[in-house]
Amino acid sequence: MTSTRSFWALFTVLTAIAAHLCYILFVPPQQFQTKLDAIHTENGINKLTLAAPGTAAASIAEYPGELIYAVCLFDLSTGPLRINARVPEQYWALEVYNTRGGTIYTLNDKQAPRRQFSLYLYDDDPDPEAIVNAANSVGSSINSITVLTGTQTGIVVIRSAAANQLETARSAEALQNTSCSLATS
Amino acid sequence: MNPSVRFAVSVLVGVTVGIVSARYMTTEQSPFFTEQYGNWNNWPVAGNPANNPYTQAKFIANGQLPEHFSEVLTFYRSQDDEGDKLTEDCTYLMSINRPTARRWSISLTGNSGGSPQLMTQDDIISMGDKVTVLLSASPQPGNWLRMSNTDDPRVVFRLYDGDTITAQGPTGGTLGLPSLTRVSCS
Repeated sequence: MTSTRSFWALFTVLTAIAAHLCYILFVPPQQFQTKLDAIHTENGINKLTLAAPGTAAASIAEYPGELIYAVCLFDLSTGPLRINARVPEQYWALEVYNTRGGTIYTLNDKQAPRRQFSLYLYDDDPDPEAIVNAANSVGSSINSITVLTGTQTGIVVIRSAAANQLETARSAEALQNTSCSLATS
Repeated sequence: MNPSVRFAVSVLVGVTVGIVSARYMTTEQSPFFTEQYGNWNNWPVAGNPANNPYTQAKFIANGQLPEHFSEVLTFYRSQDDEGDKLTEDCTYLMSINRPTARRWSISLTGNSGGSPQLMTQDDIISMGDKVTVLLSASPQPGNWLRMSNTDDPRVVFRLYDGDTITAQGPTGGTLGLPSLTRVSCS
């Protein structure tokens, strides 16, 4: 009788552990993927979009009162991605995430080389010729940064200060002049 | 008890406990992966590629991409200094020495949706180093954050330039975070 109870108690505990792990490992990533799919459907891939209110991209804008957000879903399966950034002279931060929400790379206004630069994303070690070709392609700037993502898909988020009207205007102008596209295009 | 009934009950109990515990561990009240500074909570490895699955789940389940902790440190609280849950029936006084971070903000959010009430370093009216903000459903003199239609009021304090703040180290174990005292209740 006791061993039967122990068996069912152990079975219940193991079921609880399995359910717990399954939930943590699979449910949030699936919920997040649904959000990414919505952004993809609305904006496409390898394209920078301002996260305006009411858009799918706005769902990742957690602090819209103090920051303007621009997002670019990327897929590096057909080549490296190039972000030609023109950034304002105030706080901004660019972060590259994988599709599970982990940060791959981060850069802010104090770390960036200049107000205008190109950021290249490669999913793996590129051959040196590919870097030279990308840097020489149309639209590149002299200030190039190369990032190895280790993943083919992910999302780039640019957050720029928007705590007052002046900051908002500067950020909006800069982000409208920032692009995200395949380096080969 | 019939073995198939036992099986069904065990699975039901196991799955329920597993999911409820998983959901709890990704809330701000969870003591497991949050860092406590008084009544303020912080997810210290937010945005880190090597973060644990619980921190990752906490953010992405809500569709949020956490800023890397070197960019912004975000602190949350839903209790006053006495440990009582915040309610819009009361007025609270938030008090802090002006932060040294290059940017900072205080916002008030709730579960009922709508835009959070926000104050940044530019909005604060302050004569000296001491900054005080009143949180209340009714208008207050000076710095006022309106509490209204908030089922579950939560104060969010954000310090930009997380690296610098972290390097400065905790001040008395609190990082110089604001106090929040209840002034009155209706």
